Amino acid sequence: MRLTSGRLNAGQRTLITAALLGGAALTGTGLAGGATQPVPAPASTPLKATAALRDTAGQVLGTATFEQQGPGVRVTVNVTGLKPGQHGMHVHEYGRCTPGVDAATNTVVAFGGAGGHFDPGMSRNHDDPQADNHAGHGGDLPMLTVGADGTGRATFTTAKVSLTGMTGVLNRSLVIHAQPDDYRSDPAGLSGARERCGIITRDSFSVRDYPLPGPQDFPEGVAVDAARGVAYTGSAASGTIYAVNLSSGAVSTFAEGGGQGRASALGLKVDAQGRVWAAGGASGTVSVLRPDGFPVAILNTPKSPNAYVNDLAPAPDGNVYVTDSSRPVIFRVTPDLKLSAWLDLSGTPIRYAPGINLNGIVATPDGRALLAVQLNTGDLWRIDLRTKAVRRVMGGLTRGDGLLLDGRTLYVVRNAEQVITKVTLNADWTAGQVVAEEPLNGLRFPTTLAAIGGDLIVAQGQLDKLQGGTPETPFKLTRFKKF
Amino acid sequence: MKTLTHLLGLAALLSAGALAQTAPPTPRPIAPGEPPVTLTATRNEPTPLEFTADKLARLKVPAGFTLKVMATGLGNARMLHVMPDGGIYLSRRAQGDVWYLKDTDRDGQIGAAERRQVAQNMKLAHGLDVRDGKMYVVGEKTIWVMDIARDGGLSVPRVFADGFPDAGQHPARSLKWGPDGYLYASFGSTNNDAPTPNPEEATMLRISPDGKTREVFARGLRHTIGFGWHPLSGVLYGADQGSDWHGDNIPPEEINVIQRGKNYGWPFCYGDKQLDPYVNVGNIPGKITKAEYCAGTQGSVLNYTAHAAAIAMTYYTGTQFPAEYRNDAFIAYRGSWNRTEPSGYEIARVVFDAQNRPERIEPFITGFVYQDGDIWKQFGRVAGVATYTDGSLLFTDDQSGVLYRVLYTGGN
Repeated sequence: MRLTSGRLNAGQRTLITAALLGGAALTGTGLAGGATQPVPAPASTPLKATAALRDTAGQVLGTATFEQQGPGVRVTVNVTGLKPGQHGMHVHEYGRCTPGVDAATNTVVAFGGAGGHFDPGMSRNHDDPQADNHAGHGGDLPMLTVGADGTGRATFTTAKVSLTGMTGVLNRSLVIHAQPDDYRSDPAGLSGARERCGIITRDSFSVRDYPLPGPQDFPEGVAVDAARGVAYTGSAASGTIYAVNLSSGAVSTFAEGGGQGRASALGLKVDAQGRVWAAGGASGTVSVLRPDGFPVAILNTPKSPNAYVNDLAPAPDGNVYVTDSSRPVIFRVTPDLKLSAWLDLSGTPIRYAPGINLNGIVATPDGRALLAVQLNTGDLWRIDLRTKAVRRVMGGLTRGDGLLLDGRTLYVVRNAEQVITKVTLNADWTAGQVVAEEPLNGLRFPTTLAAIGGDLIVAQGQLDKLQGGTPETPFKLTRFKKF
Repeated sequence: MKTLTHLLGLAALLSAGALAQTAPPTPRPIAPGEPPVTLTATRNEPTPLEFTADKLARLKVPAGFTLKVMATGLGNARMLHVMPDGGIYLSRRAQGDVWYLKDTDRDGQIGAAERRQVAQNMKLAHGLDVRDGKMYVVGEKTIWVMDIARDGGLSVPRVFADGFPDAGQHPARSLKWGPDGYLYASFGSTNNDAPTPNPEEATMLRISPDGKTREVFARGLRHTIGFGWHPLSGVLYGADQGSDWHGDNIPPEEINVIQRGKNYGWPFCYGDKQLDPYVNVGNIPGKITKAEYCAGTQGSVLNYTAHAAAIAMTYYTGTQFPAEYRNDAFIAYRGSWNRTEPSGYEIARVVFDAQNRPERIEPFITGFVYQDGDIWKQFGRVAGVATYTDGSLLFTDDQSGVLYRVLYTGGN
């Protein structure tokens, strides 16, 4: 069993190798990352990516390639048509090479849609390419030196970014600026206008995105009604639940949020009657919605300022089990739609700690147990439905959010880690092992997932942006083949 | 560039669907700026005058119609509901009660013995409707239900649904049972022109027949007190009151087609998705521009003079009036206080065309407000409006407590 912390540690530095190619040179020889960062579990295909670098008129005038090497990435840049000399070069947060707003002037600038520098360490500081990600932007790359012929070439390896995990740069942008980078001044080292931009796109990998219509959707839950051919997804910010036609991609409002008991919608499930169950988060409720979207029942948990009804799982016994991420209790809704506390966790090995505790929950198909992941500790727990005995199945699943059980395969969505982890469980659901970890074509704080036949669909919630920053639109669900 | 391999075998779907959506507005890192705008706004609250019979001559009715006073001294006479036997329920918001009026001697007057209080202690009781022998009344944050006795009396109110938003600036709640068997109730905004703290404010709510669950049916409705389903098309129309203090003509009063899951634009947009220049753009969720926000909202189908303040709406399904009135709507416009030349203080008619679509709004009963020298005066704030059992039209004045009756006498 392997553990991915994903968090970059200060201190040790990883050397990058700089290759001098033609008239271009890379300045600086050392780049930092975190040398203690473990090698991620393998993705379903080798992690490689390409960015076609365009000028502001949209013409492709270069290419950058990215190849995963251990915890870091080998980057090769080849671009033409630039002024001789040094040019700031950074990974920017969003996968958009469109005009966008520069906050300092509140005006639209070329490639402003790419946003600011990618900052996985939340340093809020521009620094040199050797800085640890907590000290400076993860996206602060070495300057590109352009020769007299206007061509810039560079090859280097950096552990500041990756193609997977918290520092993953898939579906972000590589931007080359007009001026040198002073590796110091915020926000971009006085490197001036953005002259080239390319979206870092994974090679040989295809997904289907379902864009959502609103600028503040923050989709948290996703559930599929195969008979109707729709996926439901609910907004953590507003509680609105959309129905997404899986064939056409058309989105309609299934149930407007903000009403009784649904200021927020988190975990979603569809039951055999086509009813949609929604965990109400801080509303402290479980809503059961008819197939036309009207609430059949809005079930209240005990009133509390710390209600955090996060996810729910229908079990073969006909009950629905509900996690609360801040109150140590598992609730149960019986088929007559009565909610009660089913298991007080204070007498079990599950210890609630600060932060988000039990989150995703599934029932095993044999009806023997529940499996639930504790987000802050990364532990997966097995809760026996008959005896209520609780035992730890495995650890290492930090930031584990939504779960999907597919036979003995458990898919764990790991929100801040920005990957989906595939776990193989043993026959009695008491032990498990990580076998793969997928960033797809870049994930933005993914939250939950659901199955559609041989495919899976994941909600890219961006819930980290509820606390600040600007979400990347469109918000989307992403469909991909099981791995 | 490498060739993409479609691992999912979704090539056909990709081409069919992914482009079907329009891109949403892009949230900005900082709220957009807007140029400054200056406006002139006027508070002009016409001097109120108690109703006296000699003022009736000031009221104008269309040719062939006659206006009569059915009752006076009713207090804060707000909403009306007419029973099939001619009994009339009247809500009084200021008094928090419901009265039962019945012209038992058929003299066209509600005498002292023909009126009685049948429910009380309901704070801000306003909208009322009847279904299956029960009276439903909505007040500040509560909907009550009462059993209707044979003599028109009401049982002690029970709470049917509760926990609705604070009333704030707009405590005139209303409700109606819809053709789908659900109760629709509108809850106006607590404030004038800013996003509301409670997401159930400035909405139309749809409530289950047992009162236990509800949903936000539509939002962005500042104060849609008058609403109802057209008798032939079944379309739900509502009359919304636009913001105050934005000048004499902005925003106009709206008639909206109210559909499930839609946003009608208040406070940022009015009329046909027009941008209200006097609302701070920085309050828009997601730091998008006003134009982007308004593009995602629903426009009105008809507009009327700003600040006229629709307070009730009823469709005319009687047979007394000429045929062209059939299935048109009457709206009580209670009257402005925020316009140089007062608007409203009238009963207006919404004329529907041959396809049952609203075509225009025209005055029906006017004259309650007038200029006396330099001073504007008024002697009636019209409120409730309902069709009486004989096909005449009833309406109230909540200032002096008057119940008026409009009869068609043309052709005689």
